Amino acid sequence: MRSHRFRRWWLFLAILGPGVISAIAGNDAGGTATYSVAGARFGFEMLWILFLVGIALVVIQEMCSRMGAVTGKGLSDLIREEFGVRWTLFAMLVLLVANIAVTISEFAGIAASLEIFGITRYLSVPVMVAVIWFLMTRGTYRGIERVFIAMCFIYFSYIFSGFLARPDWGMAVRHTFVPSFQLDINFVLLAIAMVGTTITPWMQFYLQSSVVEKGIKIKQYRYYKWDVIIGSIVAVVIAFFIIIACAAVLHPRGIVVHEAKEAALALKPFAGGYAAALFAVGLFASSTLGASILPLSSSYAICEAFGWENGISKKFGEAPIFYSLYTGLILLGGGVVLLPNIHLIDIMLFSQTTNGVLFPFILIFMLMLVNNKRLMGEHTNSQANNLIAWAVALVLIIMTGLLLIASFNGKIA
Amino acid sequence: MVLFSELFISELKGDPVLDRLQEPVGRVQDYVIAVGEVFPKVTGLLVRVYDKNEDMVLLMGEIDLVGKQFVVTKTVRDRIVYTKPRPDELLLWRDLMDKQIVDTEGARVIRVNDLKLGKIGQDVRLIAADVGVRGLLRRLGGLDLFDTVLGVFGKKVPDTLIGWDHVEQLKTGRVKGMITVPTKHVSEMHPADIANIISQVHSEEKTAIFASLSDKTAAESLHELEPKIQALLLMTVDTKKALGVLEKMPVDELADVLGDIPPERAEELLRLMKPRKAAQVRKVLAHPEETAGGLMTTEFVTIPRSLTVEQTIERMRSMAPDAETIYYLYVTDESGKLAGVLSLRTMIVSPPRTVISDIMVKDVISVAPEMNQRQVAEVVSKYNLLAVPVVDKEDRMLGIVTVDDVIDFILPPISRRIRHMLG
Repeated sequence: MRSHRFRRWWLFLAILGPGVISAIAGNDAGGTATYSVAGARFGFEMLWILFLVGIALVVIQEMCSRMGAVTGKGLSDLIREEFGVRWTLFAMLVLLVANIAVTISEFAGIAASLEIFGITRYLSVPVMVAVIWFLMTRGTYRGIERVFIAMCFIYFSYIFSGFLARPDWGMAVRHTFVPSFQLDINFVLLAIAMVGTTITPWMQFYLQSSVVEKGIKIKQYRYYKWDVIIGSIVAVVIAFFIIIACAAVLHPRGIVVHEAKEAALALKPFAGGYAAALFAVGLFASSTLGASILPLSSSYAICEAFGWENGISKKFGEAPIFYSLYTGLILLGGGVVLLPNIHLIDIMLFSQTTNGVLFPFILIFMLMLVNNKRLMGEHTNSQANNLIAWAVALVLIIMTGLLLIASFNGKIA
Repeated sequence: MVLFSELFISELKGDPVLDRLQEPVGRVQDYVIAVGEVFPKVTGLLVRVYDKNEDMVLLMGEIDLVGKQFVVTKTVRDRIVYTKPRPDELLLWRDLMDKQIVDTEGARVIRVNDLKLGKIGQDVRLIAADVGVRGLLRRLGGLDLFDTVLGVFGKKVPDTLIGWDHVEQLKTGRVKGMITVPTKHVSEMHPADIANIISQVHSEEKTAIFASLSDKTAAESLHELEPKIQALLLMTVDTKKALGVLEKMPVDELADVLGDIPPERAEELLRLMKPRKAAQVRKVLAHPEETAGGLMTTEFVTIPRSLTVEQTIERMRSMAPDAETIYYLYVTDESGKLAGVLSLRTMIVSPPRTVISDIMVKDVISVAPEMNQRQVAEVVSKYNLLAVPVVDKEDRMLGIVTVDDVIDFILPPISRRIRHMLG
């Protein structure tokens, strides 16, 4: 038996299931920026939000992958088949806007990380736009993806840094479980961004179609479920330590993170003089991963919903809308970053807030689908799941409302 | 009586149903069709009946007029006979609208944006699926606007219809036991096209289509698919079918496929397979995937060098059915070492009594089992070979690598069905 061949393949999958991979890739430019800024500006005060978001993440990701396992269909397929053309158009516009925002933030991450090495964004961004476009359409991406994922493990160094920074653990634990709220516009903005960066619209589409692609059926699902749950926990634990490290290192010194290299200082307790380089490599890898996956998965989702030809194995003439969407998204993402007077960290935060504002719409579609007995049979949501998911949607809508009121009052900072 | 020649069902939904005295009876919800004919006949309407406040089927026999704006029954409200909807009935809106179908002419999977009904004789029949932008805009309610704007330039929104005679319906999302059209169309397509269809449909449908193919067609289609989908199919299809398909595959492709599925399932299938074939597969599996040994097939023809041309042709009749290629005959000496190679052409044009060792090429190009697949491709390409023998250190033949196994390294990898490279 060719045992070594089997072992390699299955070991890789066993450790890095899609749940864990998407969790690691989820700590992208926007995530890093949001968590860093949260820790730097508000210390431990936002940890309780992360704790609640973590619970919601587990519930929602599980729901989404269960839907894939039971129906064998992707989220955009289900929305189209159950809600018809008009609602599909609405959902796809929401997804498109959210994904454009995230793509922009990924390119901002690429620009910011390479600027730490002194490479100007006017060089790095156009080059990376071209590199990503070719990698993805020429089908050589698979091998390189693993390299990028491996590089993303750099984020685990936040855990060491978090310990070495000797934070006040008593405070940290208290703020994780005891909510404290500030009626500050920046606090609300950042809170929405924190939900939006942890539970993203695109992740739901991506995760569900990868469950479908793998052909996971409900029988194997009870094992697979753990991949999703562990992945979510890993993502939240890393986010937790990013906040801890930033709260312990940056917050006392009054550094509010205007530049990526300021965020990098949080790794200093662990990496010393190499902190900036380590941070930049991690940020570069996760941003590139995101910038590669997002435009493509958005194009797939949209084309599948409307029944347009899609797939990178097709030629441009066979799938014109697919390629136009894909190319347009990448160019737009890279292009916005090159606009004059653009502030990279602000873009990353803004895009995550956009995600948080738009996510409830997608979540409501998901909830209606997952509770449809004809589709899900006996695997519809439990009441506890529904309660948590509806609460997330409601809280996000209320916070968006607060934000609107505050900005009309001219209080926006 | 049918008052239209053709129309789209998105224009009809919600039409009022009136009795013969013009009294409102209900609203049209859906269309019941009978399967079995090329253009399925609409046998009844699913109507939301106001009096009963539930959906009932109104059979065509009860209907006097079907128009674009309304439906009129034959009798008065209280005397209309309804039937209860059965769960296994095929409904146009519920079961076909927005779903995926296979366009057997274009060999692609496509989504239904609208359905076109036509009057054929006195029947209303389903005649085509609208899969284009026109259908989408009609559903969104913006078609007139777009037609007006484009009309200024003397154009209109293009129409993309697929006649129902070229449509294959998929089974997913349907109630269990519902009648379906047999998958005759798909199974008649070229294996590469079938692979294309399989790679585009949902996972349950993948298995369903695969299981409906003959073993031979299934084997050929399986080879065209990307490894992830191959694994999925072999995991989900029942063991009997899997074995039937695997029996039809050449050893090298078989090893390739089995290398990509979980070891327990691969071992299970190997144990159930014919022992001779299983042993050959295990031999190939013993080599790493990306080397000559992992690519090779063990089905080849060798002949001793002492035979004559006449004897060789006789022998080939019995051996050739199993061999992957017979264009090259490999010649061995008394100790089983590779001594030469002979093309089929050379042998056929030689006199019957010629001894093989006199006409064979003695300087054989061969590769070691450890050689990387890219280097093997280079050898094949450099010497313009259809196949290259794999030999061990003692020059004994282990197998052959044929050109189709390394073509991906000679040509860009466009032939495999790479769809979602993500996930």
